Amino acid sequence: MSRRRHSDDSDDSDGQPHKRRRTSEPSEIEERLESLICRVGEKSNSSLESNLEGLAGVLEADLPNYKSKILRILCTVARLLPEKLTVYTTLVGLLNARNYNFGGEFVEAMIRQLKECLKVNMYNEAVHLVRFLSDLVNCHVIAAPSMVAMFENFVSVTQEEDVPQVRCDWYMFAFLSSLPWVGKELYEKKDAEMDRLLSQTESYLKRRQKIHVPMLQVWTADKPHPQEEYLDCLWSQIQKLKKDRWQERHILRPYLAFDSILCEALQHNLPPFTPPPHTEDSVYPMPRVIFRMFDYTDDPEGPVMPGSHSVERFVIEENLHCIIKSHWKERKTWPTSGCALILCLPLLQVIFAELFQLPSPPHIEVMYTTLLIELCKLQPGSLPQVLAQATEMLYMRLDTMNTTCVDRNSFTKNYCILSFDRSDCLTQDLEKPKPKFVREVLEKCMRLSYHQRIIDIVPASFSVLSPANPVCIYKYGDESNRSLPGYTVALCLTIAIKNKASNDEIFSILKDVPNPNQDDDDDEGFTFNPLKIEVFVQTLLHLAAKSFSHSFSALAKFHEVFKTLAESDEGKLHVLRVVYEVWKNHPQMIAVLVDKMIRTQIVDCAAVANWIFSSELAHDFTRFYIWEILHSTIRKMNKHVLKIHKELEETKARLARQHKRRDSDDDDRSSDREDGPLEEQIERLQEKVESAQSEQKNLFLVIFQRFIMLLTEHLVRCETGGIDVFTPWYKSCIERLQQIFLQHHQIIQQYMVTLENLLFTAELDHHILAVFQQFCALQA
Amino acid sequence: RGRAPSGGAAGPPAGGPVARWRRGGCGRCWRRCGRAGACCHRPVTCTPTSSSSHPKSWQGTRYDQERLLRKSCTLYVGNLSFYTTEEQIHELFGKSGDIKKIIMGLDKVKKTACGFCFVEYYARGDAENAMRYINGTRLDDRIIRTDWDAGFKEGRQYGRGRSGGQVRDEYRQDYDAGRGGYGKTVQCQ
Repeated sequence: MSRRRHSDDSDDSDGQPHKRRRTSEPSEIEERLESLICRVGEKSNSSLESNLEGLAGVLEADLPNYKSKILRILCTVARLLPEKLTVYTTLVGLLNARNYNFGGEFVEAMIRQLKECLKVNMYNEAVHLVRFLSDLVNCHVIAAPSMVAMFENFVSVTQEEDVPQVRCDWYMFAFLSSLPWVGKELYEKKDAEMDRLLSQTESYLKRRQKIHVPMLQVWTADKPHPQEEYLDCLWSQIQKLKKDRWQERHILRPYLAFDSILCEALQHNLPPFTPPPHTEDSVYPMPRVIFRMFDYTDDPEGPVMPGSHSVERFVIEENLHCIIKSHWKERKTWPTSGCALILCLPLLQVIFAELFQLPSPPHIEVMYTTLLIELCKLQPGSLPQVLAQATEMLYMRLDTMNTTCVDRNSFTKNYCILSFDRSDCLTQDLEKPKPKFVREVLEKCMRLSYHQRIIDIVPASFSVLSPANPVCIYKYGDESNRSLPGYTVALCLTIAIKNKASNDEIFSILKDVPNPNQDDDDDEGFTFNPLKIEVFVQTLLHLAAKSFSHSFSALAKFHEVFKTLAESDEGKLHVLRVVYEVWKNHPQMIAVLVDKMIRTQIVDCAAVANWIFSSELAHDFTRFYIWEILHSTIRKMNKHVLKIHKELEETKARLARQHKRRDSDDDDRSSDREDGPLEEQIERLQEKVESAQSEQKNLFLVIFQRFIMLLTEHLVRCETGGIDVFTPWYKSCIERLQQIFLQHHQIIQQYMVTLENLLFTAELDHHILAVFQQFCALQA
Repeated sequence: RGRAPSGGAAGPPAGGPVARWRRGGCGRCWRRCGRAGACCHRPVTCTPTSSSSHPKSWQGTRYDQERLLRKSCTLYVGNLSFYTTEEQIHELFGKSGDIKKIIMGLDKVKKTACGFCFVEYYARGDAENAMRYINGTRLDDRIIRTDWDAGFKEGRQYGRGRSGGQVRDEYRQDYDAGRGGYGKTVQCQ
């Protein structure tokens, strides 16, 4: 696919410099065909209808020689270009009218592709294929009764026993979401069957459980816009569509212009389709909650925005999601893609819906900020104002916004925050969402510029919200501190390091530092000496405070000392504590230092997790940078496990290839001796994988355990004190716990038994247990 | 010898007497070649032109250069203010993924920042996202520009202008407060 090819390549300055191969005629023609097919439906001087007719003629002529290629291209566009669905179904309809056999082969190829997608868990693309097939009914390629039969098979999945609800959900979604395109036609031909299907749908939707919903909602309040679970919302939209006698006005239907040709065509029957059975490896899409922040009252001047239960809303939003998905990697195509031409409010709502999606946006966050900026440039007369309005609205509703989404919000608001009146947050307690938000935004702005600039911009009345000056705090710096234990050693160290001392010299200077834990001292040699750690780390970080690079060099140069001092678990924890003490005004520095220390194995992930939940950090516990660090730590752990696993698989593959070569060579010379080194390597890697996985499990267990301890403490305190449990701190904490579950749910699923039996037992407070139950309900 | 045209033109320049052009070893500039026949690709050292950013004496062939660029996780970042810090760059470029290393560009004489840097990511995909979404956005109120880099080598952190800064600041005619004011040649007048 030419489009996919471009998105895989980077922006080479030379484009395609070395097209060295001799392009033979056939492949030239194939490329031309591909290009013609991909480009149909885009902006052109002629009408869409004439383009389609022309293209159908060209393809029909090329069918004898290029049939399989054309089939393949058409199947691919059906899967990857859903925003042009009706254009391609019309094209297939025209081809079928001219060549009945081709139509049949295409339908068969599509069914094969659908089965493949389902087998490899590509459910989002499978939905597009189902929709494509159903629109082929409108183009007289597929007979309506056979489509209804397929949908009957889909709906009957809800009768299967012992299958996850998400499996039934997907088949239901595939059925319902095709109805805006084909509901009318199917109902006209088979109304009794459709009625039966719809009533089966209704009863399924009534009985399915929705425990997972609170975990996925962006807003915790139902006003002004309730956030419905996605299937409920779609069902309401379909019910309304049925009430409107299946009249749908938004979808572009080019086939209507060709009705006289198409209705002469012979239709095909879909082969009976049995949904592939559920297996251990099946991973179905996660449930979603529909994000709403606008309704038609928000846009008094613009075109009326369709109501939230109108099917047009569904179709428009689906279309926008598809456009973003097709174009997100290619910034150059944004101006000509549908995005630039579409109404402000639905577009903004879809962008924010994706940005705030829990656990993560479908695409990288920074894409959305750049997209918003580009869109403002493309629609300078309208979008900036609407965006400003949206920003204001989001700020007003901060109190009920999920904490994770608030973080993402502040990420985006760098660009527009400072022009608003935020005086309402001055009167509130600093822990409340609004003042907290402003503080985080100001801190982020400072990271992208510098401290003095923020001080200059922020009015004096807001100074309490300004970030601290990111300077390092060196406890041995002042003469007045010379009574502190270790002061003299710190001075010695400073001189030594400035004189480029080696690790050994550092060790000998540190030898003289007394150990305040003298009683615990035994003959082990290097035992945990907090004072040694303090003196060394404080001094070194202070000397290297100038920039990140200086600090990284320092960590690298004295790596040996670090490793030795931080050998024990308490040592690791103490190193982290000292880093915090020195750099508590500069959270960004703390984050990069912790990252470097994990990567150079000075500390391990579990130590970082324990440190984050320690009492020293309690004051900063709700600040964004803490969670930045924790999530980054988990990410590193996950990447590490994946990397070793990949190494293991690659080595196994090498061994398998070696065996195959030997078998085909039939050479007696090569014996098991050759396998030796590879097999050893595999064994070693196997151990490494197991150890990494065990470390990963331990990390999650530590995190969950500490969450439980912290939350339980809070709940007990509230109960005995008779105060309301739902403080801002509590909301933030619970939502952070939910986020951990959501973001890493696939990995955490592996630990279900341990979690159920060890941590999330029935004795736990029901508030905490509810989160675990929501998580279990996600893929149940 | 004839002056080489600037930049990374996709093909040799048209016009002029029948001559053969070949790519400089850097992969970017074209050198007039005395030979007849098709363009050759012998490794060659070449003198950088003022607008290109390739290293002075790159000994690789054009293919090597392009191969390195395709696999690279390193970006060159240009048009920075002299006052932009490593911290700011880390914050901005960290949005597309974990950064392995940042090397600030320095004035060769003064050893102070002179408006460019290298950003190296652990993963190629993260660098690609930076090229897609961070290239062309603002930092310190300046539109910054990113480009693929074949990889940092010692010495490349220094500006190659005669006065120690970047070449572009040697001949610049306009006043740019974030980059030391007027260009060096203008300042010396």
